[in-house]
Amino acid sequence: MISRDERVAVQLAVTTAASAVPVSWPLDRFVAVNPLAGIVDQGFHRALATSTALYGGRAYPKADVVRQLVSDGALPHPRDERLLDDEDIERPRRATFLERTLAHGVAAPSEEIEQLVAAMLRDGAATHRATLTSYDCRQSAHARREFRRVVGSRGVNWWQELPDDAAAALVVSMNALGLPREQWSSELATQFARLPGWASWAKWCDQWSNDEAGTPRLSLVELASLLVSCDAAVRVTAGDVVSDTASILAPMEDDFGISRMDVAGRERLAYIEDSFINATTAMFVGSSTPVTSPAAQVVMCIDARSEGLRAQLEKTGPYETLGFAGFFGAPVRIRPLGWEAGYDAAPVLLHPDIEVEEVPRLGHEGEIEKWIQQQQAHVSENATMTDLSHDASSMFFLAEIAGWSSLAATVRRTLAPGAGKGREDDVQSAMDITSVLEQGEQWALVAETSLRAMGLTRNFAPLVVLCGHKSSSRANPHAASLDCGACAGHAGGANARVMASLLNDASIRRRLAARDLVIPDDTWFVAAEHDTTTDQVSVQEAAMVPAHHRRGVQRLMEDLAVATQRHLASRVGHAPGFSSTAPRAVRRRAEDWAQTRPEWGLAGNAGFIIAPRSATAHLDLEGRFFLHSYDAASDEDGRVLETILTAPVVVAQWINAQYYFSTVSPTVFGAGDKTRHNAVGRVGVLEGPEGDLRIGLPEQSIRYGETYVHIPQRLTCFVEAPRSRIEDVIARNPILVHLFDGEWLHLVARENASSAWHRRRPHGDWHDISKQQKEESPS
Amino acid sequence: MKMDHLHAMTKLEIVVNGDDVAAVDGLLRAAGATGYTVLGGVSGLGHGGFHQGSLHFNDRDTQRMIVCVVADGQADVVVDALRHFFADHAGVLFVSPTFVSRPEYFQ
Repeated sequence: MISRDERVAVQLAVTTAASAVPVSWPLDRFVAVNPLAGIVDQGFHRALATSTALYGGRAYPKADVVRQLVSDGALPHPRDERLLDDEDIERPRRATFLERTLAHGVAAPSEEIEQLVAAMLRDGAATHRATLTSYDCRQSAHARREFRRVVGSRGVNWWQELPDDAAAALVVSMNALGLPREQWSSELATQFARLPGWASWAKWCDQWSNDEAGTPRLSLVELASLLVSCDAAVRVTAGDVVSDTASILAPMEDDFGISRMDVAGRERLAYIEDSFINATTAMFVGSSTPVTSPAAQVVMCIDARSEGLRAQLEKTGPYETLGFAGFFGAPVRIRPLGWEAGYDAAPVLLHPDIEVEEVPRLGHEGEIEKWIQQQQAHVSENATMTDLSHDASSMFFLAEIAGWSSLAATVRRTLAPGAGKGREDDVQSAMDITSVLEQGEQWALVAETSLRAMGLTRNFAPLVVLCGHKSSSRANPHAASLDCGACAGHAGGANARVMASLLNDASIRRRLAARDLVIPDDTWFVAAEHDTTTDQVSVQEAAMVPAHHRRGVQRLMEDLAVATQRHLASRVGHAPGFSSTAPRAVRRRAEDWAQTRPEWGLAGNAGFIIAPRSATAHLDLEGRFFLHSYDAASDEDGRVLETILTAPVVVAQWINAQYYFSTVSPTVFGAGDKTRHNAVGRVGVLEGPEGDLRIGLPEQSIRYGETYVHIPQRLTCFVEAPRSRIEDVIARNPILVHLFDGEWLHLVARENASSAWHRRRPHGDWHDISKQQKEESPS
Repeated sequence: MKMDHLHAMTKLEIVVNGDDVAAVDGLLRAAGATGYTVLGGVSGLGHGGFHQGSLHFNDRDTQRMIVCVVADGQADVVVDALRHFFADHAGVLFVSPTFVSRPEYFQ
């Protein structure tokens, strides 16, 4: 037993130590996140110094990024040659207390311990243990045998006799190491840096999960206990073989020093970003004329992958497109047909408290029941494969175990990807929004907020399409990373269906009218879903469209098909790896389970534009920008801008940061080679059969061979709004103060389409970009 | 109001960012607290400026108030831990004497 005081001290040390630990979501809802979000208050550069001192790796882009951009003509040759040349040095992670205190010549078996702990956790997760504990790991005969090889019998006996309680075992272990209490949190931060993948899983369990079934829980205290106890067993075995007392007791200094490599890297990053901001602001010349009477208004996700299709659709017919968060402002749990439990379909910043169930449409109950049975049989067949693939150690024997039953499907997917695709679009179902309508006033407010935030308050077209998005890929543990981030790594069609049903409901429309937001009787909201892998768009609940709107929907779908083909053609030019735009070839790519790049996801993301579509519709944005519709003239109190900056921008910054860190420091924050991935249940992936969980994005999401498809740079927000309004919004939201004053994001703004762009430096220091460019350009 | 059968305890009112609720939960549990109440929509003026009570699409970056009642013996250790916690986290802590009718619920 330990005292209450010790227990609280351990908890405090673990909490403090976990600040710099990234968070990893389960694979089935793989949410992009800034791995340094826990220390966002430190500011970008300081957080990078903290991170590299702790985890090792790199903080800034390597010189080969700049060399590639200069070679491609995307950047001018820099005046400072250092930007083109660097030493290929990665920092090591910070040394543990044991590593620093063992006597000269005595090496700590750190790598063996890390491999062993990772293997114990992997095996625990693979055997579907609901909770992973340090006690269970120590009780494993296999683990004891392996650990005995590292520390001998004396060490393993001591290890095995530690208290069952993780916090108590941790206190005993830290005392055995001789670690002073004031160094507990610093040492635990170092310990977490030994296995950042498992630490990030534990942090998700501790701070984000809702005790849900199906994922093994691991607490940060259990992980810390396991790692420190192994070090302590070494110390116990080593006896007096330690360095001098002064060294043991010396407080560990954080290395905030900036090395020469970091100075060049920081300048390299600034060069890339300054060039991008200058080129982008210079690109904003003129504006397009909005369609006066659009046949349809198509609202698509702000996701950068929507922009290209929107542009092509606008060229195809009298359509207006808008950008809005892909959950359409409907924070709900969705329970699809045949599912026993629902899933959160909203940004992870929100906690949906209402569930919407997908139900059979009247008269189609029998048909749906049959479909559900077919799906359940399909799931059952695949569950066998999935369960086996949860156990990383069994992956290499999968074919042998699955045997003949899986052979036909295996051969089919290998030789003819795309064959045998289901007919899910034909399912006759609807979203039952009864639970939503029971809270009519509250959801009228949700609907009003969404419509105002997307700038859709008047001049409604006969058809308003809410178009969510999804992706298509096979045998891809990171498939959810390609789905909608605003829907917590799920397909967004369900949210579109909920919101369309809500906005078509007469009672909600009456409530909206009372709020001075009148939707004409002849306007119909249609739900749709954009497959970002194939760029196909499908209408959801097509049978629900009233007869007099069907011709309009049909025409829109025909034009979308044309837009899809044109957009696919442009993708060939913009990203390597895409050689054919034929629908069959694109579909084959999505269905090919050997394909490591079904699509490029959000690689290349660099900007977030908050402005009317007329400011961007005539520009080729190359799929590098998140686009949020915003009309400053109808937002005098700044509430809409506040909503955009505090939610979609925060989510986009996480996405951008995930790409940044996966690119600049792939050994720490990247997931490695996709072809070597083995899934550990839904927890994460290993690269190969052992080692730590790999977090972040795989190499194949970032680069094509040696070519960077994603250029690491911080996201820049381009806002068309008065600067005073932007400052007001930032000042009343600490998260925005951290993000903008801490330089996690760049911010440029102009008052309207004819005014000059100004760039914001920390603490509201604005500079006219055009004046600055004139001063800097050689005359 | 009859106060005869009430028992003296310590009330902690902790205002933190929504992101930090889980961390405070861990500290309270470690200290032996048996429960607490979380209030959303907390706004006000602090060192970091005015804090919004709620945002439309973001529950994590708004303030929450955690109200927890503990026995006097537990209060010292949790207050000390929270003082350390606030060394690098935004928030405030109010400690006041309070009375409860069922002390066994809080120990």
